[in-house]
Amino acid sequence: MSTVRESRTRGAAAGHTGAAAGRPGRPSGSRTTAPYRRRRRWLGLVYLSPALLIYAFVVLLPAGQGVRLSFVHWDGVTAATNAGFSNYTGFLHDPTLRRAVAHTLFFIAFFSLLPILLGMASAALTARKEVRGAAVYRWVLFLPQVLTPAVAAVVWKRIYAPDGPIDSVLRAVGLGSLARGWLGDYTWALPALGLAGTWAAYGLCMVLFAAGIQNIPSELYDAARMDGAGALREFFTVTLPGLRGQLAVVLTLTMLGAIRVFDIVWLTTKGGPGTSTITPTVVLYQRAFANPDVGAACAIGVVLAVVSLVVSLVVVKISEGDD
Amino acid sequence: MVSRRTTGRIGATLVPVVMTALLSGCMPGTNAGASGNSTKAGPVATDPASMGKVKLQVLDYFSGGTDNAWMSSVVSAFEHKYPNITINRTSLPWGDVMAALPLKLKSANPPDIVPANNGWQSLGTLVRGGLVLNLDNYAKAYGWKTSFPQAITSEHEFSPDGTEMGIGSMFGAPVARASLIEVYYNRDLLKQIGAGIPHSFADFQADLAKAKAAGLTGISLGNVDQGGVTQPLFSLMNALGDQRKISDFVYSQGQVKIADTGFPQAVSTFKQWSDKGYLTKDYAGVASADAAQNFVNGQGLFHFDYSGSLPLKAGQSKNFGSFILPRSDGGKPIATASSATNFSISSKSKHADAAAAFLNFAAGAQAAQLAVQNGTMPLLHPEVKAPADDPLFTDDVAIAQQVTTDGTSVPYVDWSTPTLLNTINTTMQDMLAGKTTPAAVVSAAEQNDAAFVKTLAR
Repeated sequence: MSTVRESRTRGAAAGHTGAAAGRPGRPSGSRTTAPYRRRRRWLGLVYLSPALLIYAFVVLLPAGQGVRLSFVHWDGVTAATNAGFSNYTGFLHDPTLRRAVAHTLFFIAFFSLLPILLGMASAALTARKEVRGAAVYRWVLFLPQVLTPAVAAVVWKRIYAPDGPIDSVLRAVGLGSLARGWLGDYTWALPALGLAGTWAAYGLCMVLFAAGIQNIPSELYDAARMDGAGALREFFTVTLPGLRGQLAVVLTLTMLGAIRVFDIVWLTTKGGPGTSTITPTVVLYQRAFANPDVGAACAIGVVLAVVSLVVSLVVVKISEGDD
Repeated sequence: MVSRRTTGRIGATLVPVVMTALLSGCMPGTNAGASGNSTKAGPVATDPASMGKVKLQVLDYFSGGTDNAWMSSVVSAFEHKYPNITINRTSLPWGDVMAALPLKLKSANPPDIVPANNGWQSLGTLVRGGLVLNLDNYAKAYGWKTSFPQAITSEHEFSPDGTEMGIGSMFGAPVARASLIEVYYNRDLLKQIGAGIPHSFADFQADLAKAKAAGLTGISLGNVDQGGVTQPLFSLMNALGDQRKISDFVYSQGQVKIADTGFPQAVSTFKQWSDKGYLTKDYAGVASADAAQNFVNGQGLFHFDYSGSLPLKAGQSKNFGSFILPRSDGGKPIATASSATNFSISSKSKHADAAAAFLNFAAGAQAAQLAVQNGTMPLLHPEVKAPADDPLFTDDVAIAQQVTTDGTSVPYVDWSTPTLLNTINTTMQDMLAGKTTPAAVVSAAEQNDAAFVKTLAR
């Protein structure tokens, strides 16, 4: 990375990096200051070391072990045998795993894109003028965040049951032919679980966006209105750019949620009917705990971790952009 | 906030540390040899009273309800009889036990007695890893192989090299409590359609047709969570197939094909029941727990489930009874049955004699009596009597007696490979939804079995 580029990003992110911004463009090969700096940096590491040690033992070491195990065939008990990359190639030739990956893309739409669109829309609508009782709406919509996923799963299982509220309403309005066991239906099980995810993520998106909008200086809105901007124009020129930071946070959180989705699937359909709602994490869980194939489970875990990391990096990169 | 360069430094320091830590570790699992698969050396002691002061650690999954009540009463009865032995129980939910068992057994100080699940998924793997003790000397000393029915003993047997199941040495022992699949029926509804308790398979099908004609649900079933298919499916196998072949399929590693066990007929019959509308409407979208509750609420003539799993409130059982699905050839009905848990002894246990004495006690007549007193199904002791005030429980105890006396039990089919249950559940859903044929279910199960047998050969 070039020094010019680095100092530019640092300058741009001055608000974040604090002290780092104060020493742009260190002269290279300066013998007088270098040892002092190095000592100071090591001092920082010493302060950090307790946390780093714990982090290493709790996160890095197990993660490393996971990587190592992903290259063996192992039932968890008897001697492991070398597997090479065969656990990873499962993503290419194992039809269950391939379906699971396809479902992840589907879930990204429902867990991430849809809640963001809805959250953005409702936040923008309430931002333009004072809405009576907005706090109550927000509180109600944020409620799913308070529920544990296990409870949410039980609730949704009930809602989608053949004698549940959705079917009751359909029958009451004469659309009884549409009533069905939603989670047992090959066409509808996946979107049904997706909608449950939308419901869960929407509140968080909306609250974060609403908070973000409150931070946008009202002069910007006034200026836009003076220039004759309508609601749409105002949204794209003022609100959306102002929400960049929030968008990055929300996008990261919800996309990772979609990639890692497990609880609601496991507690409702176990990946069924057939494999129509199976996700990589469900396959991971089955291989790790139900069927002893620890290596294959670890390979799935490693791939998910890498994908998650890439997704967060890309999102951060895009959101920082080049101002 | 840490600057990028510092992050680089930290990474540069940590990566070698982590890598060294990783590379210094050997291949996982290699420290477990087959040494544990030899029987305990030297003579075994069978008199607990003369074993001195002993503390036994017992792990089990009897964490609530009648399960816990029974286990607690067995433990206190044992401690009362042998005050020199104290038992420390740890109860965890079933899934937690299964996930943690290999690690617990590999630790320096494992529990003495563990509830390894029968079959290849758990016990078979632990035998192969040498983590559980070969109990043959104890079986000889206590006479287990003659006092237990062969069908139950086989469920705890493996060849010492861990490549065969159902024969060889005992690596676990049953307890005097059963877990089996039975058919529950609703007395009122049976009367309402003018039918009696079915004594033949044809009777049973006729009852289903009558229920359908009367606008009733024949079989209360829910399968959205993949929790409702195996109970009726295994029962159908037992009714349409052959006891010997079903057991041999589970135990023989590929010698007997699942296609010869009655499985194909069972799958087809299940499909017919579904097509004829004998099952709960939209059962594919109903939770299995809801199906059991609906049956208790009177919506459904029959319900296939594990013994003791109906969500009954006190006094509610009067309207229900139970039986084993009759066989199509008129022979003695066969039940998918096992002991409520397999108990194995850790190969590292320092108190194997005392642990075996407890296993013997948990399989004994007093433990069976305690099962009945706690309202749960006994096993191994046909002589125990059920209390007279609960007709459903009376049926259950009679079934357990019948299975023990006649030796008419088969192991759970899914023990035959670690992944067969999953394969059956997903392909049955596909088949019942019309996505595949019954033949596809059979061939999926066959492939699953063949693939696993290959791994056993290594």
